Amino acid sequence: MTDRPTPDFSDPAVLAQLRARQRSRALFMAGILIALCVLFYVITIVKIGVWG
Amino acid sequence: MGTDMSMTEAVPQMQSQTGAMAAQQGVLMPAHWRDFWALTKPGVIRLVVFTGLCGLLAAPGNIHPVIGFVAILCIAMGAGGAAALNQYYESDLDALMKRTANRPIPAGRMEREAALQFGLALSGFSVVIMGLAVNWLAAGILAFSVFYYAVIYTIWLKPNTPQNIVIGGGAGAFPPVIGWAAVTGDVTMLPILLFSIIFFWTPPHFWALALFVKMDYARVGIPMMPNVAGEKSTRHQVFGYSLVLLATVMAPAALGLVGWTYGISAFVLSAIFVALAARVGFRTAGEGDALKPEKQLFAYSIVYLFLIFAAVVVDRAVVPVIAA
Repeated sequence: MTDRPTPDFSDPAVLAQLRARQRSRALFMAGILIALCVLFYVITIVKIGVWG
Repeated sequence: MGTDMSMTEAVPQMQSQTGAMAAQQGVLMPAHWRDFWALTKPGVIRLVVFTGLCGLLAAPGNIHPVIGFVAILCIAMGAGGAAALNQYYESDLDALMKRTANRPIPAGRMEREAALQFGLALSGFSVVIMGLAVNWLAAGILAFSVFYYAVIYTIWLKPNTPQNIVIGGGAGAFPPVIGWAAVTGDVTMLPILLFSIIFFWTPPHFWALALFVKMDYARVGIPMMPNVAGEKSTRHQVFGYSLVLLATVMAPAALGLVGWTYGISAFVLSAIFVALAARVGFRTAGEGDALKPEKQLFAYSIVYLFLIFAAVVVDRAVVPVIAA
């Protein structure tokens, strides 16, 4: 996969950095998934002809 | 899908301090979402989305606004996926070039495998959604355009031939055809000419850039025209292609596919393009030359393409409404 070393997660600063990164990614992914749900819903409504 | 056309592309504006720290330490941290965004080359996507939208608006017939939005979104996602696959494959070379060294993989902010997975997922997803929500012709052309950019251009042409950008220009030329196919389910003469305009625009646009960053390409062994055929030959070809571009841009008007609004606009814009290309084509740059004409041609070429496609839309979609 990679030859870069794994971070030292016993270091609180590294752990906080990891958590912050995971949180921002999780929020972004949640936003994307919600947007896709809305998009698929709207596509379905259009396809079944409700909006002409 | 788009060729590497923007100098200002995809440099993460808000790279976090922690991300920079991780990169400096060379440690394995999950990439920030902004790095995935940067991986899609947003600067290139702007042009891809615009030309795709123009193809869609210029096409005869109607498309539901939601379906039209989905078509453009899929074009953007396909282009983003192709860009991610390009950066996955070229990360070693990107690290050696000043212009690309700050991209997420060479800067150490992201693993190569993450870029590969992201690129495959994004491009695959875009094709499937295009097929299900719009039509399968548009989806097929989108799939081929991703393949063209990620495989034919990036893996095959770019490292092997100085004609890479000429043939590879096709990769960025598909969006108006996809936009057109999304509306009509068909491909006729006008979308093929829109494809040809981008195809013949790419060499003078990109070689203008290559003339002032040629040392970057020479350093990593990519056979760009200035390094292989020499600066003089490249300059002549920039001018030659600008004439071919002029003829191609005027073809829709000559064939009666568009009206005089487009014809006059295209002629004026192309005359300026040829004049700038002539200035580049017939000069010799000495040591320490600021290469101002080359930079002007590069900058104008981007504006030029935007305006040409805007003129197509105005002529085919706006003028008939005003005249009615």
